[in-house]
Amino acid sequence: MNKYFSLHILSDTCASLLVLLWSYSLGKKLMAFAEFRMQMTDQVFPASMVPFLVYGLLLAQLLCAALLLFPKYRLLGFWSSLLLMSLFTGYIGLVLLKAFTQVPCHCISILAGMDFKQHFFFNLFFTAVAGLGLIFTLKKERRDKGMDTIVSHAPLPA
Amino acid sequence: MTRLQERLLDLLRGQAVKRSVLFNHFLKLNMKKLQFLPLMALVLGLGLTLSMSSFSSNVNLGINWYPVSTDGNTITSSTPISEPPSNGDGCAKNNDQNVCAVKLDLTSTSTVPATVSAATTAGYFLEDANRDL
Repeated sequence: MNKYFSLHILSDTCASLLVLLWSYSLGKKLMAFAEFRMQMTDQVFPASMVPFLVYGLLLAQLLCAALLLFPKYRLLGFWSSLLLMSLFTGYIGLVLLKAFTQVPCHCISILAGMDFKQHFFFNLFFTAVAGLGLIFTLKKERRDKGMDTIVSHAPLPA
Repeated sequence: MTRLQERLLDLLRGQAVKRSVLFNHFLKLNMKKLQFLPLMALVLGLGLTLSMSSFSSNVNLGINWYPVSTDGNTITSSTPISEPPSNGDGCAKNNDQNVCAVKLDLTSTSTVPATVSAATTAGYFLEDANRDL
């Protein structure tokens, strides 16, 4: 298969996986907004931060999904997804390391019945997807600009 | 209306039209570039949310543990947790502090009560686990 075409497909696949994750997570939060708000109050954050976190998270997830939908902004979408996933993974990592005095409620998980350890690996997977998507998209953009094809366009030796 | 006000209004209208033309151009340009696979993922993600929520509202909930907030009364999620209550190591049946999880018998209903007291009143309450702080 053509290498450019493979990069294109891989970048598309990574973007689709992340769009699926963000849209499902966003939809779930919006469908049970009161419950989501309550779950956030039972985390380790100060109560004054909760409203900002609730709306900030929704906005960030919406933005990530929207950016990934358009190829023009996909690179930015991968960067923001990577940042968001790293933050989520870092938070769960700290909980697993018992870094907080209060043990937060694990009810915030995206899939029912998932505990913190399972969620940590789930998040690691999607962080890797965002990282790989970023690499594939960067490579594709380099190819689009012709930076990777200098050698292939060089005249053959006589 | 003075001439100055009219000119200002014209200017604002012109800016608004210009802005809407630019916005339409942006939409047209980018909508064409939307790709099939991520768009399908978006539809699938939203569809999954809808189907999961309608599915969960039609099924009776059985006997499960539910997490309780730090106030010891509010049930924080309608999503059951695994037994023994695993919202952290500090939550166990033999602790002394306030309630962190409750075991409810919801075989006769499809909604999770909002508080422990409501669950007790309705007769859904089976047992609880407490925090150890």
